[in-house]
Amino acid sequence: MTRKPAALLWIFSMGLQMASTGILRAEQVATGYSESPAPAAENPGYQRQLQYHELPEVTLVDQFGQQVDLRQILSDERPVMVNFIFTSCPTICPILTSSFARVQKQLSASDLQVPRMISISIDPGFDTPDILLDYSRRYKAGSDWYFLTGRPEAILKVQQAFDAYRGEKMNHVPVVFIRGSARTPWVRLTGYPTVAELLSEYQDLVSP
Amino acid sequence: MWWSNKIPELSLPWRSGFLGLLSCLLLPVAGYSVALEKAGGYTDQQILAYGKAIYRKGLLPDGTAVKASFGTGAPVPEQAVACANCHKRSGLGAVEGNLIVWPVNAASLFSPRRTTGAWRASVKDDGPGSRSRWHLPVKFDSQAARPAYTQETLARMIRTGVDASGRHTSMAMPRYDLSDEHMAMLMQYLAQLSPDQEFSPGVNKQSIRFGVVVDSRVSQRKKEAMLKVLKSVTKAHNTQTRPHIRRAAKGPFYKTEAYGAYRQIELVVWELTGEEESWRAQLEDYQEESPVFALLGGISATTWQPIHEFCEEHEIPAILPLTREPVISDSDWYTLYFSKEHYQEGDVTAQYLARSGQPPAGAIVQLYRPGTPGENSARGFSNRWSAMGREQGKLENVVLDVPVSTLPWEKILGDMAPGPLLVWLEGEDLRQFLTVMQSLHPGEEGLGDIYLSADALKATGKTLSQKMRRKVMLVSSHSPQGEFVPREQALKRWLKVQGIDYSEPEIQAKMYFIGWILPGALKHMRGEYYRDYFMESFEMMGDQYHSIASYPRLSFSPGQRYLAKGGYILRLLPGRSSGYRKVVDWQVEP
Repeated sequence: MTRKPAALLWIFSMGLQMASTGILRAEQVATGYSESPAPAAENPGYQRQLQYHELPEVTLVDQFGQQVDLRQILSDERPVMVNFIFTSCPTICPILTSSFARVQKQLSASDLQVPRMISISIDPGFDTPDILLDYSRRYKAGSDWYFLTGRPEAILKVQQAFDAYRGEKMNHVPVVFIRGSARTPWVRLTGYPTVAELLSEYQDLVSP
Repeated sequence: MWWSNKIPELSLPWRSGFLGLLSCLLLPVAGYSVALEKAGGYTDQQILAYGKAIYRKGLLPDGTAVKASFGTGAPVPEQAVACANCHKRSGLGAVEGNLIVWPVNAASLFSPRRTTGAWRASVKDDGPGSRSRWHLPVKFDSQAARPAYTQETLARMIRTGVDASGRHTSMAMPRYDLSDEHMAMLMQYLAQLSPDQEFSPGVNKQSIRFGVVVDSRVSQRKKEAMLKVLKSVTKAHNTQTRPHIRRAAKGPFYKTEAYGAYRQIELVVWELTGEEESWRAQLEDYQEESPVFALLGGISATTWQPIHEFCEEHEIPAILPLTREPVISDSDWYTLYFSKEHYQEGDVTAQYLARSGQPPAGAIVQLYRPGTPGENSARGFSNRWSAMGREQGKLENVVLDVPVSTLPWEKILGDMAPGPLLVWLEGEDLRQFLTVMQSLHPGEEGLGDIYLSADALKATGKTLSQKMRRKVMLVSSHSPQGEFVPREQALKRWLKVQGIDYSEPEIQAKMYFIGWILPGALKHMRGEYYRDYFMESFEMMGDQYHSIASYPRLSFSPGQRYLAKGGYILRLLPGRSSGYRKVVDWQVEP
């Protein structure tokens, strides 16, 4: 008799955990392509999940050589967008960074609050602050866009915290994390959302 | 049957257009053919050169960048717009994360792509009537994932991202804004890129030939240390010949491609004699006489520049030569170095001084003699120092053109005090400097730290006085010996088994590392023996730790040609011992 409530409690708590990690709330977003019709199933689209992440206490360095407490810049009420990049990446990172730049530019011209943007290098040995500064200029990054590097162990912790670590940098996956404020879960977008879709996702978070 | 799709599907208007085009260039390639319209008014050579510039650099004939946007709608930055960024110079594609970048050479574009994409027979061995045994069993028979491209469908794909089957390619595939003329140039270039079964020189059906460049001025002991390890690695590889041939001939069909790709390694030594100015001609003669697929290892007493330039011009890969004077370039492609060596020492010193909190109180003075490796150290320092936004006014270069002992040292030290002194000298210059400094009481307050190359100091055989030990910081682009004992032990055991004396730790560790990574690079090519693809094999490798005793970590990445990214700065401890404290342990602390 005493076991039954415990079992129910366990099932309930598992349900909560699954919900909090996004397993139950994961949803596929079918992304249409506007230029010409294409079968939806063949469109790569992107995957959307809601997640909570326990961030490590790490100090990273931005493109200007300034030390940055990652938790601190993520702890205020500002909306934030995060991705993981490396400057010699030829394929995935240019599209992620270019999308961020376009989103930042479009939001700056809108009435919506512009999010803080954070691009974290997963190749810290090569991506020193000055290399990141040069990279940020190439993409015409605006203000409040941090390009972060740091000790390899710190970078690894951050990747693991966001479940973005895939062993080697060449195995990395295209992921974008958006959060409306420190009190809300992260929206994890895996794949290649269009700029319009990124803006729409962001708008849903900041003006629900 | 799946092979019936091998003939490009052409729409009727396009087909009739084909027949009427007198200016068509027909490119007959075994197993497929495609007619491409030439860009008018240009020679074939110009068309290929312009096509190459579009493909490799993303530049149009007028020098402006190609315009493109990703499938997401975001613009592609100029630096990322070249096709070769993702499809690679070889055109054989790559894999990054979960993204497969498909091959774009003619054999791939103008043939249907199979559903799996994993197994692909040579085009000429494929299809009906072939005498080979490449046919898949019926149960594996399947429709092609996409039909062969035609000029029309390929142009549509490049412009809109819709492939020959009507499907949308990845959002990461840029949609290019190319005129018909520029599109024709690009296609002509693709049509001859990595031609099916026409491999780069130095490869035949049995073997792949590598050259090992040896500078005759290098000591016999060092030459032998390098060659013995390479030969041992080669011998081990070549003992697999019989089983591989048997497996290729009689193994299961799905293994045929892998085993059939096996080649014996043939090493040829190219010994360079005389003045460095004459090396280029010697290299040309060697290559003409017996072409190699790539250079492996190799050793030079001084510069690698003539060999670097030869490889760059002929597009011959040179994998990890032993030189303390590599060519430093952000854009050169064909030589993969362990480290930037002296340049790296200057670089890491700049990073350390720039990030060590407070800027130096006095001026930073760096001292070097033009034409020596120290000039590279100075360049490494200056470039990084400037890139980190530090004021140039506080950096003073003292370029030596007289003996060190004749310089007005009292004044130099007085002017700079208490800023750091970067002494990028070696040999007799460094000996003289040490003698002068020891007589000037450098241990006194007011004088900044003196940075020296650890290798240069070791080579002088000089012992520092206690006063000097307090002031000297040693800079090194590689690990001090004994830093990674287990790795050294592993190397020693391997050498022992091979019957090789442990005589030159650094040389042997580095050649052992080549032996460690070479099989992976060869396997990655899967029988597509193109020099560019060989270079790209290394770019795809993961970071290496335990297989190299000379560095904490070596890392690869697309376009990166220097594997070691860090360095050491050591503060000497008081006393007569060789004790030190690591101020910088490979990577400069943020």
